[in-house]
Amino acid sequence: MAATSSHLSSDRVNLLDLKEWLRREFLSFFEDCPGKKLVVWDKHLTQPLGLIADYRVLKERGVDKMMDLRELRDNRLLKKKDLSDISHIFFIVKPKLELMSLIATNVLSVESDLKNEIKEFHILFVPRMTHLCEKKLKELGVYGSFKNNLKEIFLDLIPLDNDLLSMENPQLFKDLFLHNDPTYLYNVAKSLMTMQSLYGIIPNIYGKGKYSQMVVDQILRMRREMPQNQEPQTTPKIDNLILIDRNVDLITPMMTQLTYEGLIDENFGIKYTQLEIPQEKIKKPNQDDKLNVVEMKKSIVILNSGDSLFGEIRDRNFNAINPVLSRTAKELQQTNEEKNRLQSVSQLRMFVEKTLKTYQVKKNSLENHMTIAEIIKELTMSDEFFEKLQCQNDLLAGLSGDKANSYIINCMSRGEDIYTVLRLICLHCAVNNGFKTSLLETYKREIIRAYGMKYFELLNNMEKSNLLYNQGVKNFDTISKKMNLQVDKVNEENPNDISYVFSGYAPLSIRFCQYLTRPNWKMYGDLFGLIPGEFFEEVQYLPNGMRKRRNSNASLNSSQSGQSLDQKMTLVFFVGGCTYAEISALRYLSSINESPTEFLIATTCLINGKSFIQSLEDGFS
Amino acid sequence: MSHTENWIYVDQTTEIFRKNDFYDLKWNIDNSVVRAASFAGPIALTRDLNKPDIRPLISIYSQSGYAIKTFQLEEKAMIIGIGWTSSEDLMIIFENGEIQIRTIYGQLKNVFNVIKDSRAVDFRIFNTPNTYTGSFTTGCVILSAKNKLVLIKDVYDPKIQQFPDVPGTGELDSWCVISTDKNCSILASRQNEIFQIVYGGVPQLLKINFGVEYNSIKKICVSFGHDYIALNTDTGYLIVCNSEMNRIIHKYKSDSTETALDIAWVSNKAVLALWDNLYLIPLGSDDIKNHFEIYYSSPCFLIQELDGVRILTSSSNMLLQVVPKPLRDIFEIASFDASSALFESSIAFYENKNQKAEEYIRSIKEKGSLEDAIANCIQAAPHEFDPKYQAEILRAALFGRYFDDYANAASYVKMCQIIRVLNAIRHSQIGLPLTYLEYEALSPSVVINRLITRRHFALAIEICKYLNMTDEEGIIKILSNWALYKVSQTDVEDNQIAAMIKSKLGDTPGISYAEIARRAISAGRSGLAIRLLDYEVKASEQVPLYIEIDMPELAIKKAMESGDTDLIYMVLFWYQSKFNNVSDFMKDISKKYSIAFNLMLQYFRQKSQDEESFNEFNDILNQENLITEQVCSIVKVALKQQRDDQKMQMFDEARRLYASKEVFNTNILNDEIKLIKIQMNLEKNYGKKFNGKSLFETIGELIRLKFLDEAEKMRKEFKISDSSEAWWHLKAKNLAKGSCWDELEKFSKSKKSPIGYEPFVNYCMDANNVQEAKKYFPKVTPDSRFNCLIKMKCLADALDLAYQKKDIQQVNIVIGKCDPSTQKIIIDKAKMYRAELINK
Repeated sequence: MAATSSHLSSDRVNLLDLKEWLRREFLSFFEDCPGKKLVVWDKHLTQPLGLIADYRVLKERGVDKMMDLRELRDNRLLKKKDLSDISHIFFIVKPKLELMSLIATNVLSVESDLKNEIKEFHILFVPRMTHLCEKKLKELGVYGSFKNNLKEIFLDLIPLDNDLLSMENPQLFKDLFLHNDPTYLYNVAKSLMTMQSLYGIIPNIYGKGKYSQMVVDQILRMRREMPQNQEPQTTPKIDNLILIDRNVDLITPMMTQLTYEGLIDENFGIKYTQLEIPQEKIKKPNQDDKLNVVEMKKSIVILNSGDSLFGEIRDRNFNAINPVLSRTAKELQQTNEEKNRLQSVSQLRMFVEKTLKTYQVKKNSLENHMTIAEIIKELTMSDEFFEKLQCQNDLLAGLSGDKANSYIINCMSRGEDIYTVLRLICLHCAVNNGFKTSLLETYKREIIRAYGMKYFELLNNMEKSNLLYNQGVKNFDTISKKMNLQVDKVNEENPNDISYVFSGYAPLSIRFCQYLTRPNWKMYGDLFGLIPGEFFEEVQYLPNGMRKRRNSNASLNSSQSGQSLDQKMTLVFFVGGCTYAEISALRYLSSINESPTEFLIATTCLINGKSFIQSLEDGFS
Repeated sequence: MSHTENWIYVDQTTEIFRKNDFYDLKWNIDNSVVRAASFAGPIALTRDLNKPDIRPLISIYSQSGYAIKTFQLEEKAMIIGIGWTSSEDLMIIFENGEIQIRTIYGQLKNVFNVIKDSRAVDFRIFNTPNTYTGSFTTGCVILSAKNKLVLIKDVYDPKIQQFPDVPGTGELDSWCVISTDKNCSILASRQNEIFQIVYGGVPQLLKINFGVEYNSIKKICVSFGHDYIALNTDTGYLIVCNSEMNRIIHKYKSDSTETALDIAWVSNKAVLALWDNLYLIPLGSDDIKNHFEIYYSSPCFLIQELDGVRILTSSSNMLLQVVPKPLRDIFEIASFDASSALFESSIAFYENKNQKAEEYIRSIKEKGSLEDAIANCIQAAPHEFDPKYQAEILRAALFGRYFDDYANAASYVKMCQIIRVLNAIRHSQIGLPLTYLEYEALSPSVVINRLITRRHFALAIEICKYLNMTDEEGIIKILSNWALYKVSQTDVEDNQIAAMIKSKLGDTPGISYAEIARRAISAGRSGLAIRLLDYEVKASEQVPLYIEIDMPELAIKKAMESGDTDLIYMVLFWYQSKFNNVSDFMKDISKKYSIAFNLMLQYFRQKSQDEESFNEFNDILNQENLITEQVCSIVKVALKQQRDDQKMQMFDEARRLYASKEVFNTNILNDEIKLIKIQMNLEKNYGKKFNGKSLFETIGELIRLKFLDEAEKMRKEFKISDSSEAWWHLKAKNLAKGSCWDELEKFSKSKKSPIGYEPFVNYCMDANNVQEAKKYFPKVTPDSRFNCLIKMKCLADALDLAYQKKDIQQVNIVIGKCDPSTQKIIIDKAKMYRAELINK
């Protein structure tokens, strides 16, 4: 498989441009203020902003101290002593009302403490300031303390890798699909406008689902409102935009991901490309290994394509990563032997200069991933894991029909992890196009009986956001057959279809993208109609000079010849989240030789079945 | 008729002057004060200075004498003077220290007061030149009756500053303001003393000896660029110095000892003074009496221009200036300049059909000065005011170009364009008689502004197109202003104006309909504003204005269309203020706007995290029939309660909310209440806490504690079938967990297990009890036996079984499970079997 991410888009759509732009915007706020600064963070923002500019860079711009806003409460308010030599105090926050109260108490505390000394207060809202916050600050009587220093930085869609962007906003699904609150859609639209300002107007837009439609309506509107001289002056680097509402495909997130990165996320959770492995899970490595692997030192591992080994195995089916790991081990061993054979000092120096550094990096990476793989292997070898996959397959095959699945019921009585159970129930529901009332009630009652009333609200929320619903038209079987979702013969090592990511199930969302980017996609029109969510298509007209010079007629159909020279670039945007398995599947599609398009992936959040369901829980934020 | 007809030659000076008549005027300026803005600005006229008991009347004229507006001030007030800002706004200075800024149509733009405890007796308006941009900032100094000098450096940003007091007492005889972008100072004279008072400095008594007899200085006049001053003494002297007052440049002795009525500078080259006649006094001659007398008919007003002096009389508008050098080069008698020869040769060729024309040209060319000659003609043409003369000079340039091998059309074409624009705006209907230098100094963009101010929109648009100006500088600005003007036409109907504006402006990018609507609102025409706002594309611009004119439906509709929830919230909070209480408000929007309703619900939902807002939110949920969410929020609180009875009470409250409508959820709540009751009893009877446990957890706990009868009772109470898989898993698992091995065995034999016996093995192994697990192994179905053996760690048996079934996969699993250091025998055996199986 050639689906390494370094192969991907970095030279066509360079997401570094976006990062650089965000970085300049962000740093300019500090550069505009001479003197030492104290930064008070909303700690939810340290990670995303950390990806844009690290502490060293802030320090160079006079940031002297950093504090966590949520800790500055009760008896630990900001006081004079925190502010010696400091001339500017920056609060960097999301526009949340409770944070405004915290800011206000701190500002008032400082002001009463300082008397005549003058400090400048700033609030930097991420991604935007809202009238609600402004109103709140006025109510709290501190609005005047900020003078003109209420600023906003539109940092929302963050580049996580050279083909991946995420808003990392897990709340969006709940707000949108449970509470019908479209607030974040505006941010999605604005993010897309930012993308367009950097990479050109995207001529062709396709979408599935009502919220995707709302986003598109907004970007078209924003473009209309934009003064003509602000239109991006670049020829489009991205040809197509596909937006997909998450609830168009609620099967895929419920399935257990079987790619390496997907399994890492399922078991440990990846946040802003960081993996934190609990120390107790890290075992001493097997003595039998040929390579002298030492114990993994750090429990935090950065997961992105900068690590070439990870780049190679992240999208593979977990069953197919061993060959790569052992090949890498062998290569390292060879290098090591080479070193031992070196005779002269000059040869040794050459080796040290050229090879040793990459050798060390590779070795560390190999150690990390062998450790991680070992832990995951343990988990995937268990009976529970096997039975869970078995159950998934049964459900997909429609074996349970309108009856309660006995494996699921037994899981509950055995007190298995609730989220495993809920995922299977959701999968059953989605595959069955809904439940008969009695079945839905059986499942719900059993959940309460097994796990208690604390899941009462979650169940209601799942129902309200249509993860669980009453039976509609049964058509999954038709969709599955026509779109070839269940594939019997899967080659996990050298895949020939996206279904390898689930060892036999092709994610519906990605199959949709695959068909839609085919030159003859219009023949699938009826099929697309079967999938939940309205399908739509929009064209953004470009001024003559801005059109691409290829033999393109500005539509997907043009690359009839299928030559890779004419390969298009498609941005897929998931409204409501997407899984690593789906990303892997898109990367696989990009990598195949005769592929009509490469893919760039953007999402409101990276999810897995568990985190997805958890996002509907109360008190989640 | 000739080019030099209006030239004025003055003795003992190298400069030549000229006087150009721009317009014949027919107006009455008797007994009037006439003030015009420089750069051919508008003219203000009033007869009502220093009259306390009337509402003063002021008339505004164009330079060509066309009456733009006559208006009367709203109140009786005593004005001490009028003047203009550099942006052509009228300034009116009142005795009480008030300064009004008005448009040329008399509309009040700003008013501010600069004196509190005294009255204004004199003032100077001055323009500070900005060295970098070439623009001017208009300021003003007011002299109060208490001899205080108050400075307003920029009348558009009026900050009141005080000059230090002039030393000594008594009225000042004369004073002036010298302002550069570095500092601002005043020269003030009392009797024979002159003080220099720098803003923020200490007043200096200047020690300068003019070398003439005088008792006092009656008038001081500063040059256009603030670099020279002219002083008029009571003894009839006119003394010219630099503005630092350390160098005397010229002295003139008039026959009159009267104070000059007016003095003005002619481009730093001469001073024009008004006594009984106009005296043109060139600088630099030794003759103390040298001047040239210009006859005029009284009354007369002088306005200093960038490159000349405008002379307004009751019948004419004239400009006196130094003849620009390019013109002199061509037309001065006996000029040796090549351009002069070029002009002559073109006249010879075109008018006299003289063969010598070519000869002239050749001689210029031979000298190598043809290009310079052409350039000078191009430079000279715009200084001519008469189109006929302009054409002649341009023709000469063109003629020269026929012989020039390197001719470049750009400068010629550009100059032709400028001349065309100059001629167009000088037309008496427009009345902007700018000199070429002034035009260049203002820039075309400012000229467009001036046309807009005078409402010559059509000409402005033509010029923009002609000069290819950018949309921002040109078309957008003009159309927006045109629309603003239309809006103020109160005699035309709303519909008609809206339609007119829309048809003219269309969808021109950069036009802000909201801005025009805003003007309509401030003109009190909200009907028109509504129509105009409809054309605005930006919701963020529309919505605040809809709020301003109180149109909630439109405001909410547009905000919702924009998708910008921040905007929607803004409207909603405003809309909410129209209601007496939250509940009425929510009732209203729930019917009309579902998205808005959801947003407000979200707002209250978030707010309900605070204790005090909890009830408010619950009330809304209740009112809007969102019972399940309300139940959820009560359940949430109930779960946090420590005491069971309180918890039960709240669940009961939640159940009653449903009022038996939701059967399923009601039953769930009933079950929960029943469960808590049982748990309370169990706690009482056995002293064990079951608080917060689910039904299955409670039963499991009972089984583990061997309270099997209680468990059985609960099973029946909650109608769990004793032959259901769930029950068997629950019971078997917990019996094993509680190490109730006898009970487990009894249970396994009580009935045929619906879950088979593999789970029994598994549960025993979960407790690490191989011995117990083995009891159930014989009952395990053959298919599951391999897995059970693996789990029981009977690897040798598992291997045999795999071999029997010829299953290589399973053999491999065994190998994987073996510890290579202690179970080498099994591994070897397995490998042997595997080889054997593969070979088969």
